[in-house]
Amino acid sequence: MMDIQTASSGILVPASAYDYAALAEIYNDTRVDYIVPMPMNAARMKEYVRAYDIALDASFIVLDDGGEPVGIGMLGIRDDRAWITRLGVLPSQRGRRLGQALMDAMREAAWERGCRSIQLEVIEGNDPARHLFISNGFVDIRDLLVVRRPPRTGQTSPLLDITSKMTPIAPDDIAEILASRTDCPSWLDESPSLLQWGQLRGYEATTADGERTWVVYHAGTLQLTHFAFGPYIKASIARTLMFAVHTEHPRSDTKIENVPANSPYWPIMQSLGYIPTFTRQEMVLHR
Amino acid sequence: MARIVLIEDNALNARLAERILVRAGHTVETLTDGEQGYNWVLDNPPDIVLLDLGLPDIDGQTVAALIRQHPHLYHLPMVAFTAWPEAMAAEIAEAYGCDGVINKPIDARRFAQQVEGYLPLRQL
Repeated sequence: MMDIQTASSGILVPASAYDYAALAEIYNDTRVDYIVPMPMNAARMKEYVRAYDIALDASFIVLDDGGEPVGIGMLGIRDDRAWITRLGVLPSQRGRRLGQALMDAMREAAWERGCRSIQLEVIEGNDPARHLFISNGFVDIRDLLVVRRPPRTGQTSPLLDITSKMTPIAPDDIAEILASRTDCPSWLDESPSLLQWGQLRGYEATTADGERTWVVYHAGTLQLTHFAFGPYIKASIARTLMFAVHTEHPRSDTKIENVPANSPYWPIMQSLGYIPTFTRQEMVLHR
Repeated sequence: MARIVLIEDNALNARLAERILVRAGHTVETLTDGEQGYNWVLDNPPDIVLLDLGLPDIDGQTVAALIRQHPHLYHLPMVAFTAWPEAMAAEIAEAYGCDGVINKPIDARRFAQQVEGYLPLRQL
């Protein structure tokens, strides 16, 4: 096991030295007092690592003097971009600059692997984390919303577009459609994330004028998640696309993380029963 | 006295809640994830469910949605048991069909009464 002695009292080891159950346990322990705790089990941690291209050899666990894990930070890497996630330190160990040690190690790992930027999201209200990121040179990009829609939410009398042709997207065409994206999704909803989640479905709308747009999403057993949208044409078309999705999955709960707060699709979602849960700030550091 | 199902992954929170409710005369079954919790409720419908919203497999909102969509569980008293910010928790809990919210950390002196406040009278 490779050890990296940090400037603080903690010892950093690559997260690849731990199995998914241990990583989930460490992560959960660091989040017991989090604003919105979202614990994970081993299976969810494994999915997370795979779907979001987490490089476990560039992610770190910080140990106390007795060798017990007291913090975690994970790094996703796609081409020349990196993404910091799951960063946390046990409540009893905060104030020892262990978060900074994890940041230093992940930044160094990102630059060593040729990355030109590192991005992350921080939940609104987590002032200590935000302060840490700002002090490390990260700057705000935009606000992102985590939104939910319970199943069977009323969607009566929506103003639907009846002049456009609405068709399901064939599964084999979804990768090609995603390749045509022109939006700027967060890491969670980038096309590699969606493709790695799999179980993708979608609808395409073609207007009388020949304009095309679409929605693609992950249809899990219990939840619809990870939505990607084509170009925004007008509200009635966006509403019709989303209406089609929820008509097809009336019993599914829906959770969409990181909808840009200024997305033209957000008011449409609200009109179909979506509610905001909390806000994250997306931040970036360029090399 | 009531049969209570507590779906809570945090062992400390679960132990404290269970101890208080048992001392108040109730029986408590604690499940530590969403799938186990939902399946238990389905097989052994209790008098009330206390549901943590943040669970390690299926999250609490989705468990609430499953319970509310099941024809035999539609009217089951169900209370969100959460450390989320109060306003957020209240809005989400209501949207997902919970009858109310009990915030964590709990007030040990009031907790049993809070739970009992959501029970039908025949269970008291």
